[in-house]
Amino acid sequence: MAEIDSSQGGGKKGGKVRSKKASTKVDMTPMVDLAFLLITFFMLATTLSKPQAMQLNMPDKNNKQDPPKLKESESMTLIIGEKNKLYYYTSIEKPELFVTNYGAKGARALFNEGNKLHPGKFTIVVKPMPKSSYKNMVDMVDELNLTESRFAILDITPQEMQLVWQKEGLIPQNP
Amino acid sequence: MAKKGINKKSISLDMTAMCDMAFLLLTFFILTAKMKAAEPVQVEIPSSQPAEKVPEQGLIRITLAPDGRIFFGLSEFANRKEVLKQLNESKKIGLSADDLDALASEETIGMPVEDLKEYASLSPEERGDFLQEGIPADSANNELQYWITYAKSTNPNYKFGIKADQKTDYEHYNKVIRSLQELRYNKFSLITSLEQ
Repeated sequence: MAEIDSSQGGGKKGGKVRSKKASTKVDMTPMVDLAFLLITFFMLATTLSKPQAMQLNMPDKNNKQDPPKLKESESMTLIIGEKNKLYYYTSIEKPELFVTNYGAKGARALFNEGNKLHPGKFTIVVKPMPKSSYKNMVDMVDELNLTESRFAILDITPQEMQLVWQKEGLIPQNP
Repeated sequence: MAKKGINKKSISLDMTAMCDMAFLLLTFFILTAKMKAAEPVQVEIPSSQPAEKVPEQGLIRITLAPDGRIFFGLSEFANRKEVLKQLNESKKIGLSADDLDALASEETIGMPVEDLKEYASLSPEERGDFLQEGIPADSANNELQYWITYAKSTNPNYKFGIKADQKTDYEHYNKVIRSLQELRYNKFSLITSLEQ
């Protein structure tokens, strides 16, 4: 224990003076415990709370050139719906919506499959619906970055909104 | 260090040195810890896979509340003041030098320019209760573009960080992105937390 020798030195150099009085000892153990606890807290609080930055590049809208044409077979349109729903279609001529999900067997499998069939060329067009949540979009971009897919985020068209509503049974199917 | 007792054997450790060191480190961590600036709105950011760290400096931080209100934040006091000064001149808000100082002391602001004068006149304690309505970013009245343009003029190297709540609708986020794209800024960072 830490101790403070309160006895008189008695002038003897280096002599071991054994005091008859009780020495004033302070038990430092709890204090050290507390200090380390606080150190741990501050260390973790300062280093672990650093937020992450996800880079996102958008296509230039002011660019007068036509956007690069995509081959229908090498592209896929993904619609982020409301309430964590996810849809996709591949055929532009006769679009038919399929439902998928955010899991490893859903969107990620689709991306991997496309990348395998058309390496370096497969492009995913992401179109979030106006009322879809920001979290879903971030999840999707994350997934696309993870599978190293080429993608672009574009505005949804009214036709596509209609497709989603038809799929959900909110408006009747076209004859 | 065990001390060989002359009459009694006691296992005692001298904790003084350890205690000294522990408190030294504690002091260091307390002093280097940066207090999180009070923000006018609580935002729950989504999580993502490990990406790069958010730079502390040189970032225009656009915060989006769950209800779509837009807040503007700059980390440097001098630049915040400069942005407000330019806004004051172009929008003719009529802020005094004291008002500018008071407003620049707030790291994050989100309200239409008409509200700035009233907000500046409040004491720092009262400001917490003031309902900030968010910066308008509609095509008819896009004040966000003014904030961004002036901030960029103080430091052209500013990058954009977008900090939005998980539950924010995409349309609100899209409004911010559209405003930025109209100004020909096509690169941004989405601020996320690390996925556990």
